[in-house]
Amino acid sequence: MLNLIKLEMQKYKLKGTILGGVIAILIFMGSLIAVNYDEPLKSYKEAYLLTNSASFIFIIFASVLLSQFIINEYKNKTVTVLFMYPLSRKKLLTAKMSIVVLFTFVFSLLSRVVIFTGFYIFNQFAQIVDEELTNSMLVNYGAGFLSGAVMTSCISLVPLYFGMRKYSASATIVSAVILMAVLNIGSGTEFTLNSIVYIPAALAVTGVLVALLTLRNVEGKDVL
Amino acid sequence: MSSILRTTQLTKVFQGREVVSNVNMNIKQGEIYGFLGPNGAGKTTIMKMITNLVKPTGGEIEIFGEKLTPKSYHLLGRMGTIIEVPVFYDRLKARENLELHCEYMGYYNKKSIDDALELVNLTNIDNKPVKDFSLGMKQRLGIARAIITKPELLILDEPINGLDPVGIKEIRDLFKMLSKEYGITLLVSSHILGEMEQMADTIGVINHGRLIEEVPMDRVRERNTEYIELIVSDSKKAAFLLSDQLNLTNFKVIDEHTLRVYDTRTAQNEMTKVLVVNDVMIESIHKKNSSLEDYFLSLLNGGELSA
Repeated sequence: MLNLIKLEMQKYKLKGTILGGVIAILIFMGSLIAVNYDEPLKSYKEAYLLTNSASFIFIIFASVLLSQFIINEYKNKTVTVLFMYPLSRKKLLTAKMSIVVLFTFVFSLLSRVVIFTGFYIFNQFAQIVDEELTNSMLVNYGAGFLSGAVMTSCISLVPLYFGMRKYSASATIVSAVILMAVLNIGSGTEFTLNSIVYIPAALAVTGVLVALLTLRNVEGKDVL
Repeated sequence: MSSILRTTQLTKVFQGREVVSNVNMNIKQGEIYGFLGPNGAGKTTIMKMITNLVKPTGGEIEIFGEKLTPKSYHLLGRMGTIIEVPVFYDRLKARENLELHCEYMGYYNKKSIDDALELVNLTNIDNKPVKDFSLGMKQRLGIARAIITKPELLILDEPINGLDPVGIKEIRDLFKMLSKEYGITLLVSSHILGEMEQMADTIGVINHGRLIEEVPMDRVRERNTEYIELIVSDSKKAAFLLSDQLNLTNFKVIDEHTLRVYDTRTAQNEMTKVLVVNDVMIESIHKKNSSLEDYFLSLLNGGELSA
C-alpha cells in the first residue's frame, strides 16, 4: 500500500497544494489577529470556535485533490491504464483516498493548532483577551481540535459522491464549497451548524460511507 | 497450436442495446490475430472485456487456460495493452511514464525501457512531457509501454492510427518480429484492410457486435486467388466456348460482357484463340487480384444494403 501511495505521489505533485495550504493557514491566522482591531475577541473560546470554522477550508483543498487523484483519472481515461495493472482496483483507489484523507487530516490539525497558537502569542503582546489559558482549557481545545480534524478529513470524502456520478471535477469542488458553507452557517456568532456536534458527526459518517460505497462499486463497474 | 484466448457466447448489453452478441473467438498461441471491423462494430468493447475493464453481460472469456473473473488481476500482468487511444500521465515525461508502468507491473529490469524505446524508434524524447507528443509519437510510446514487460499476449486497439506510411511499415515489422522471435501472441484491431492482410495470421471479421467470420489468412488467400477478367462482345457465347472447347468449369459470368475465369493456369492465348476463332470479340483480357478488401466487403455487405 505504501508503495502504491508513493507511486501516486509520483504522478501528481503535491507541492502546489501544500504551498496553498500553508498560505491559507497564514492568511487565516492573519485574519484572526487583524479582526481584533475591528471588534476584539472576548475569549479564547471565541478564538477556538473561529479557528475550527476556518479549518473547514481544507474540505475544499481535499476536493481539489480528489479531482486530481480520482476524478480526472477517470476523465482523462488514464484509469483504463491503471485498472489494467495486476492490482485490485480497491487497493488502487484506497491508496488515492488515503492521500486525500491524510493530507486533510494533517493540514486541518496543523491549521487549528498554528492559528490558535498564533493568536495566543499575539495576545501575549496585545492583551486583547483578558483571560488565563488554563490547562483544562488547553486539554479541551486540544481534544476539540483533534476530533475536529478527524471529522474534517472524513467529511472531505463526501464530495467524491457527487464527483463520481459524472466524473466531474467541478461537481466535486462545488459540493465541497457548499459543504463548507453549510458547516459555517451562523459563523461569527456562538452558534454555527458545526457547533451542533451531530451535524458534522453525521457528515463525517456520510463521508466514510461514500468512501466504502465507492470502493465496493469500483470492482464491478465498467470503465468506458 | 493451443489456444491462448477463447471466448464463448460473449455478450455485452449497454442500456438495453446489445453491442456485442454471442462472440466465439479463438486466438492461438503465437499468432497475430487481426480484428477487423468498421468503426463501432464492437472491437473495443470486446478488447475491454478481455482486459477486464468492462464486465461481460453473458458468456465467458478464457485466457491462458484460465477463466477470467473480475478478480483475475494476475492475468492482467501477462498482457500488454493499448485500448482506444494510448493515454499517459501527460505532464510527465515519456520515461517517467514507462517507469511508473514498470513499477505497477512489478517489473524491475530498467534496461528494458531503453530496449522498448529503441524498438519503436523513439529517441531524443527524454526532456519532453508527453502532452507535447504528436499522435504518432504517442502511438509509438503506447506500443513501447505495452511491450516493455515482454507480455505473452499483446492487445492493441488500432495501433497504427496516426502513423505515417514509413511508421506503419516499421511497426508492422516490429509486430511480426515480436510474434516470430519472442513468440508473443498479438490481437490487433484495425479497420485498415491492407494492413491486416500483410500482417495477420488469422482474421476475425466483426460487424454490429457479431463475429461474422474467423478465418486463417492462408484460406483467405486461397479463396481469393487471382482471376482472369475477360470483357467480350457476348459473354454467354464465350462461356459456352470456354467450357466446351477448353473444358473450363471454374468461371463466372458477371454480366452481358464480363466473364471471370478463376482457373488461372489456363493460358490466356488459348482462350483468346478459341474466342477469336469463334467470332467472339475481345475488348480486354487481364489478370486481376481480388484482395482481402473484396472479401471483407462481401462479408460486411452480405445480406445488407450497402450505402
